[in-house]
Amino acid sequence: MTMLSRERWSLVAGAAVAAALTAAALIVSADEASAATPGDPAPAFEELNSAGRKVSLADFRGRTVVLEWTNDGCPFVQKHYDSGAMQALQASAGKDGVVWLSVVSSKPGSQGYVMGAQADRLTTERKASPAHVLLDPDGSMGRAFGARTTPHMFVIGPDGRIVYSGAIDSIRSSDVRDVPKAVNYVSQALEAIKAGRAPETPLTVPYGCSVKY
Amino acid sequence: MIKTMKRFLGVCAMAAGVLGASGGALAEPVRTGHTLAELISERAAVVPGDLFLGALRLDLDDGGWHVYWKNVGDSGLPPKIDWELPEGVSVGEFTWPAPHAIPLATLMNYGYEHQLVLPFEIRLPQGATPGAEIELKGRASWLICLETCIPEQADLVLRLPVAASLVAAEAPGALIAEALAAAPVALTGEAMVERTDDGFRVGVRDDAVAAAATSAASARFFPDGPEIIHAAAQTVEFGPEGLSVSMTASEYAPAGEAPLSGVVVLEGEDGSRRAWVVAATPAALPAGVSGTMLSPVAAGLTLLPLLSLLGAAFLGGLVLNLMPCVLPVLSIKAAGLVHTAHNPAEARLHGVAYTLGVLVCFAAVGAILVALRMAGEQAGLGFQLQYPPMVAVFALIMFAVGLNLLGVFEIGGSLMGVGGNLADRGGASGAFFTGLLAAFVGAPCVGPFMAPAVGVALSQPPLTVMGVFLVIGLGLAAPFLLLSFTPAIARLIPKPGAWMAVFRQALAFPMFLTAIWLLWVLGGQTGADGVIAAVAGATVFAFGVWLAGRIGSGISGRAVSAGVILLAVIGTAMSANMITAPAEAAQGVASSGGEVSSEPWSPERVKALQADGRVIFVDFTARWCATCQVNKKLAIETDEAKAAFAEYDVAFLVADWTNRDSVIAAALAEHQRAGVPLYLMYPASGGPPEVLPQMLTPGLIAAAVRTAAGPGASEGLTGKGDGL
Repeated sequence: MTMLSRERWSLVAGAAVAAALTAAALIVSADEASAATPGDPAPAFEELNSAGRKVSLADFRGRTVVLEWTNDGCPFVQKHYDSGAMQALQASAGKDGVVWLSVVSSKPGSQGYVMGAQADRLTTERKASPAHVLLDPDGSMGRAFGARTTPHMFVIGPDGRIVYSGAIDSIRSSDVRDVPKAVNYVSQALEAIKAGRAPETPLTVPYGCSVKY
Repeated sequence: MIKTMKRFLGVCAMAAGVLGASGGALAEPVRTGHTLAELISERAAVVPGDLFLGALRLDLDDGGWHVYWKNVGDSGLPPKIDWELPEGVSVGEFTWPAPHAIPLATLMNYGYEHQLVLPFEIRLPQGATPGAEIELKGRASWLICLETCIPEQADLVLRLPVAASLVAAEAPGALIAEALAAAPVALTGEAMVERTDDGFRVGVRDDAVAAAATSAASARFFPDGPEIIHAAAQTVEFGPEGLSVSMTASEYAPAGEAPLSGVVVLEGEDGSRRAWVVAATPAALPAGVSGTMLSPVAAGLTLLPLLSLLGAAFLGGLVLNLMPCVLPVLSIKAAGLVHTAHNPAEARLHGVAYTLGVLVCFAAVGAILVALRMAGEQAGLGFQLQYPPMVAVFALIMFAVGLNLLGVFEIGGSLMGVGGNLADRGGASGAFFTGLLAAFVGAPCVGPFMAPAVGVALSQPPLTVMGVFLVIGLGLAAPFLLLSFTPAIARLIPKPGAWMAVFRQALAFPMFLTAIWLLWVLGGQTGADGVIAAVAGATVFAFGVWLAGRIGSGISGRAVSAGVILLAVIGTAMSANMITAPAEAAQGVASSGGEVSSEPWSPERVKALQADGRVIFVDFTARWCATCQVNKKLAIETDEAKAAFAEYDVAFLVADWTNRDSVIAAALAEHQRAGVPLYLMYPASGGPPEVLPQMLTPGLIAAAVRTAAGPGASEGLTGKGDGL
């Protein structure tokens, strides 16, 4: 074999970098199944909100953050909005200085996909009060957290670690009458953070519609 | 049609039941949005103290509507009944038939399509009096989903006459027996589970399982709980004593050793299923439950089909030489051949080096594909061009090769000289590099002969996949290998001379065109920003090579210029990676102006249009697929095809696979394809589509439209006109 000449060296180096980048891209994309678990640092995210402004986790350092995966067409989401329970929880969390982020990971054209103005209209119509509605049409944030259902709830503590991950409450149904009977895991987690202790139930299996990735 | 008939028959049967003189068990089916729900019983008449089976029967709409198993997987709810029972009557739990895996995007559901019969025990009190009627009332509720989910419910009633002696109900009894037969059975052997680095390995040591595994086409473990990542691929092996399944743990898996329970389902090639209840306790797996990989079709592929598969792969590789994306790279090699034509030994060396380059690239692509599919990704051929950074870097390489051919960066030689450079006289390593490049750009250009071969190959065990990929590589390399070993042919090429400098420079332009094509692909993925980033990267790159030429051959000079070049490559890739596709681009190929008007494809849309009785043409395409673009220009967007589309009111759906999309990948897999193009024509009468050839002509499309519209379709239209 002849020695690599100089000009070829640069191309071979380029090809090597290209190969490494492909490998990296492939490894990253193959890893999307793993999910955020209580105790772990929350994955960093930066998404556009309904007003088209970038919102990132770093904006809320030192504050408690609630992530609510949502899809207004999903009967399980409707269960918690029609009963008014979700709005009440948002309001009380807001009063306590908790940052509530509703996240829409529906891909364009699928159920629940909304653009900025539509998202705001939904918020007004439902009398909801999230700090922001985050639009994640490519599903990157949803996959980073391992969000599986709507609703799927995450509570992030002031230290940036996940405090709670899972279902909104304890009764896995789409029946609105079950809401008052159920234990709401998110309000439990928020109370625990306020009291400076760990929640009794840090991890549950979420229930609801699939996130429309 | 069939559904309507079924329903009609159901109503008839019901009416017959009502009119029946014996006055048998009476159920009232309830029609909800997507379901016909009913309580059924294996008894037409019961006796006091009777213990028998009833069932909830759900007939679901076709087209993918599904309900859930007791463990729903990632989302959903299982069916349930809230009973309102007479005094003394008790009803048991559901017996669940073995579930099916229903994947959706990156998630997984467990459930049933078409029909679900859930049997349960009914116990009557001893005091029931003959002549009376027992009425079982219950509110059944279930979640039914296609892509969207709808909670449905029905108040169901089952009335059972009490008689002196029992009377069996044959048809419902048979349905219930069928459901019981589909339920998993207890294991006679034992089951054990051990933790692995990333999850669990469940072993089943059982003679019946071992026997069934040898002829099974696939197997899956359905857990009772949330311990595994449902959507992750499972690796199934079997041995003389049973089988084992490796799975990935989810965040809900308990830490350390713990039992794992669920159901193992084996599916035969004919679709027959057998299922066992598995309650695995922590223990080491015996050696006899593994050793042979169980993967779809693996058992059935004998030598002959394998040879024909490899033959098709070789042919596909050969044809790849003519594909628009490979041709420019090959033209470089052609220039190289001119040089070595009159030195047989060198020619042979170059031929071998080139072949080696092609094979290394195909081996790498094959290995990555196998790894991706093992990780549960829906990757297909051409997947490397679905990653914007890769496309950007690739455009950069094409640009660089073009510059090199033009002589812009030949250090040591005169600027316009024909001296040592990348591929035309670069010795064996140059030939090797050309081979790499040709294979890399060639892979997404799935030739017409190759797509079916690769589609079949990807369902095979990893070794076969690798074999097929290497043979495709051999096919691609074959013409040049042959040339370099046959001096007689090579001698026909004119002797080297001044004309070569011109020829070589001329070859730079196909390279630039290829770069432009890649930028167009990138534009589809990332919008203008990504293209600008890549062009900026190209400028920095050009600066780097220019700098290299200026600074000269000192070590520091080389380091500086290499640094600039690396910066260009890395910067381009990173910026392309950060720029996300705008929504419109993700939506697919938008139709505009003079083009045939189309809309984005989705399985639901196909179903809806079929329900309307429309002929549907689906174009599975991607920007990086050259064959697709050629077909689009020369066949689809022609007056003849457009006229046929208009005449028969054909719905034109486009499935754009430029970016990764698991729904499209799944649809391709359904037709045994690993890549685009794929053209489907759905008949107006409903039913499965006709798969059109990968090389389309306007006449072919028009003919397919007419066939799909069915006989008399155009007469029907005329007839209507006459009537008016």
